[in-house]
Amino acid sequence: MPDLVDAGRLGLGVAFGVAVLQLLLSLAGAVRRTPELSRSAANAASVQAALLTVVVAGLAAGFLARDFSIQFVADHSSSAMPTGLTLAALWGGQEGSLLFWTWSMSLFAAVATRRMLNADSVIGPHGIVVVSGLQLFFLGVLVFTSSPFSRLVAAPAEGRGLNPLLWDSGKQIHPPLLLSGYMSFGLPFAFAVGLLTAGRVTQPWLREMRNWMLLAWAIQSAGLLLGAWWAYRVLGWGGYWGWDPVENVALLPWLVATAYLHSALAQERRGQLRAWAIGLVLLTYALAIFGTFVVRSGILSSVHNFALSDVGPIFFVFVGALLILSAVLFIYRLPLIRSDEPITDIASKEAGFLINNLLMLAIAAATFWGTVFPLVTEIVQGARIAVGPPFYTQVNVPLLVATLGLLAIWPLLAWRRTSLRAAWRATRWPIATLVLISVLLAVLGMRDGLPIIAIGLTAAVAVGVALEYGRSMRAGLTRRREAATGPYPLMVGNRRRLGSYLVHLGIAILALGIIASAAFSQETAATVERGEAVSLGSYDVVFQGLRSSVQPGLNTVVAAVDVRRDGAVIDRLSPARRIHAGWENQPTADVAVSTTLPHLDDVYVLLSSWDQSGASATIRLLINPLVVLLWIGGIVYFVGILVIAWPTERRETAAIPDAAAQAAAS
Amino acid sequence: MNATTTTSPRPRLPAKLLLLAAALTAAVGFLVWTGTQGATVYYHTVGEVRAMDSEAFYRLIRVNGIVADGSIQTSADGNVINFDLQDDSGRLPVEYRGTPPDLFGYSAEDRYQEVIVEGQLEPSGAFRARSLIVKHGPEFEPREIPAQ
Repeated sequence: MPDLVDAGRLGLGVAFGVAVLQLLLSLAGAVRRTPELSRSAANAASVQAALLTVVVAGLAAGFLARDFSIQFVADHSSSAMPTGLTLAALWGGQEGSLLFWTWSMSLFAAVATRRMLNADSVIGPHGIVVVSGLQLFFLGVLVFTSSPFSRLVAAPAEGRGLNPLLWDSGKQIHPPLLLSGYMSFGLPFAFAVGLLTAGRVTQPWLREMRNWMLLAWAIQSAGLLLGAWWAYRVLGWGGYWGWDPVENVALLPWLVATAYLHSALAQERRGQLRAWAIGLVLLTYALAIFGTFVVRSGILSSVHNFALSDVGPIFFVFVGALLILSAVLFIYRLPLIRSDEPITDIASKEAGFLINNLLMLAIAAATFWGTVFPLVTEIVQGARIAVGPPFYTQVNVPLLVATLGLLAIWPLLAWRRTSLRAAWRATRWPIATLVLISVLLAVLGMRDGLPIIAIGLTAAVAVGVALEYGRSMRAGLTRRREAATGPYPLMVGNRRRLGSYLVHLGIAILALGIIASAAFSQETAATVERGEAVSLGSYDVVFQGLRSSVQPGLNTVVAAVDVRRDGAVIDRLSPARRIHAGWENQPTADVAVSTTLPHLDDVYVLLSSWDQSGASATIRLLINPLVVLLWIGGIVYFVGILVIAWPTERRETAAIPDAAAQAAAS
Repeated sequence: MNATTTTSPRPRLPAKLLLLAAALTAAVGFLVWTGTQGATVYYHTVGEVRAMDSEAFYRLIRVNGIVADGSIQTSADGNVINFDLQDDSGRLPVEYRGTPPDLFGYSAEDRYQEVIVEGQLEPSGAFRARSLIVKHGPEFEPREIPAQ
């Protein structure tokens, strides 16, 4: 049996050496303007990626072989854990997550460094320097402060295992997604800094930067959504988002990246907002590293207790250095990157992008303020305070409704300037929908202003999207009639535009779910005998008895309950508690959720405790209206991203001469 | 392609857009200001809460500490929970009405459970919690009682 600890250390050591070499090569390539050196640096990035892949595979082998002489394996797994879970333990704990970060970064970097050279032969070498620098920093932190390869002198017979709360597939997926998200914001950052140090702006380079940001943003979106899903379906506290610092800091880079993706479009199509967009890329990465710092340092009091360590100060210095360096470079190059084209009219697509940016930044600023305000008060006044969810709801829900309003109207306007007449023609149906639905809801007796407007606006967004799709399908039909030969497209139109309409629709559906559940969720709990009901709103949940099942290492107590609405049984649920061997004090909840049709209420049932005889049980019941829209909206959102990102032949053939022309020009 | 800009005048935004931006900034500023006033709750240590005089009764505060071993008592109907909150400055009896969070009650031998209670001190000297938060994380590790 090879010694995995020694092999892992060796692998990390060699990878660190390669990373140093890669940085030196890239620096030499950029300073001496020798493309061969930069190409060697890109090759070194591939070698580094291969080495780290082997190292990760080695640690995975350690986990699978249950090699408890490796401290990290002993701390995070046990022989009772199933294989998939054991592999997921790889990114549990700080050492593992940092290794995962470094490894996934090396994979991205291996691809990005090559594409940088193709995108622009002058800026490319500068971008490679930045990527190499970032890689070396993280690898250095991993090797010198948080190596997962330390040996236990006396290997224990059994590992400590993983908290049963984490025994779930959602939990296995969302942390690596968030880690990858945080990590991947580094690549657009490298494009932005490369552009600034090289002192040159070209469209292929900006396009490539936008693509990497799109990727990072998509990964972060998936991480956030899966995290919410996991909190809701598994953690069993009835909500999906708690405005906890650890959650907030993951949202911040997403918000700023969303803002960037819009101003990048104004930049691409009209040459507007260029410097602004580059500034947002820099800010996104600073926020991503700030998030890592908050999570790892434990500086903000959070419900999530992470393994704390001395990497906190390192990341603090890093985020400070990033901010200062970015700001200096940005100001120095501002005359170069500033765009010539002004935004001329408020009734134009590009003004919509700017308003989107303002809203996203406003939400980000308010969230940032709420998150760090306790820290400020503690430093300035010496008093410890907490800023609760009401703060975020009060500030962010109105901003979310404003975002919905923007989504319903501005995407339908033309570039540059829309006459009042044209604007009315483009937006009359969505506006009519908004008015009609709001009035209807008010007449039907709804009295909460924001949810009424939110429902109306979401419907308006849907109508706008349907109109756009109808238009491009009609164009497809026209072309089919006119063209003698195929291929016949189903739709004619800019694929990115069509995709982004779907993303908008997804966001609108999601936002409606957030606003409605924030306004109308109800909760109750009661101890009931068999045959008795816990009642809330129109729903009765009738307790029908308990059964328990015993498996090796796991004891499950299941309650049978009937869900009734207005007296009629509409569903049967089985909320349960699992008691894992070794974790008897912490029975984990198995939430049972029934989504009712056509009301779209989530009937969310938890078994809290029970009488040993099985005659009575304490049942917690929540009615969460429209939460299901979060998951539906999320799916629409990702379908939209797929439409945007799906490779097309035309785009590829367009990209190659571009890059070739760039190479020839220099 | 080499888009090096010459000295062009700084592009201006239309007045309507500037007005909108100013209005948005003002609205957000207002929301943040009132929100910060309304949703801010002060943390106190057990020692501070115990030393509070009558004027502090019924003020919404937060206390952070551990659940003292073996101190949890649940009423017959399961809806009222009493326990002692402990930090290195003392112990505080806490009463909580409602169903506790899932992880509550995990307190044994060398391990401890860190909780945050939000509520009010009552004249009886007991703390009536309206919310009970259990701190959780990937590892529930045995540690020392936190200094506040």
